Amino acid sequence: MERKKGKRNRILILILSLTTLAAVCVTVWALFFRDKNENLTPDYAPQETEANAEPIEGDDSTKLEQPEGGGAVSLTYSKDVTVSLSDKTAGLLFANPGKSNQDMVVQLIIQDTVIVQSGTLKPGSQVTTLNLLDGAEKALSEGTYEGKFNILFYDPDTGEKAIVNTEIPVTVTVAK
Amino acid sequence: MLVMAMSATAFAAESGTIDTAAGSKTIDVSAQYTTNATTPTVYSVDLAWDAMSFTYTAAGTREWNPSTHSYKDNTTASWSDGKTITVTNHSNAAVTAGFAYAASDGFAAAAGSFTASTLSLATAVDTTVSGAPKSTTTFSLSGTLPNTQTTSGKIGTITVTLT
Repeated sequence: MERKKGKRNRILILILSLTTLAAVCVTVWALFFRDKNENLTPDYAPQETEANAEPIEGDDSTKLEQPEGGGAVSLTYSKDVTVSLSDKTAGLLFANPGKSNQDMVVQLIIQDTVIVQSGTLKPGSQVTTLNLLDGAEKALSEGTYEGKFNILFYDPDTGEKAIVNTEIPVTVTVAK
Repeated sequence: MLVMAMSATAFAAESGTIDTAAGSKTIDVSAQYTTNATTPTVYSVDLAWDAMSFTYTAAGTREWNPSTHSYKDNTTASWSDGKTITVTNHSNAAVTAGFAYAASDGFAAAAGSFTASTLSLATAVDTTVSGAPKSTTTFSLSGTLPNTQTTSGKIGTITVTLT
């Protein structure tokens, strides 16, 4: 009886030790090896319109022909971006002309890290300034980086993300 | 004796002289146009895509074998027709559009391909708006789809890279 009890205790200790070891391994992985810089693209358009968006002057263009169930967009952009670490802003040119049939969200990504993510840009709006994400300025130093715009498209009625997205390589100059 | 002398002073231009009084000289004036104006590149690209909704249709029979308690698969399956993506360049520079497909988790067995994985579009300078450089690629699926996917849902993403 005592031997049985002893054996059961040993098994219990073994199970508890393995569970503790597993917990330690997961913690170490989460702290040191997990990729913290995930690009989490929203599946539905952000509720808020981008605060820095301005209307495109003189934009009275006719809507593009859109295949049924598909999408049609127009993009106007510059490939040069500046970042001010002190202002925590990015200077850029990106426009979603009025002829587009989709809302857009712009991400600026440098070395797999999302530095900027805009609110919704409705057709007929453009941005020349976007705010850096919280803490993003800590990941950057003065100098020049190769980055990219990641442009996400959303149905203006349902907010659902389109199956097509666009990437645009850009040069990012970072200053204090 | 008073000698009265008349003199005429000729002021010669830098590039010539008038040697005689009441003479004339033709001096060419030249000019050259230089500019410090810049022509920044403005990129403007239109993208249009068909509804990226496909059907994977299985036909034929799966025969039940009572002696082995398993099915003999006599089915064949095919995907619906490809869908088009059109790129139009309104930029004052040439643009290249690259296409890539990434399957969502669980759908790696369905592969996506394009009739053209890259489209090169010339500058729109010296073209009309309606005659802007335009090109098309067709996206198709191959491979298989899990038979658990009985309602239409997202199985992947297409990325168009503009350079």
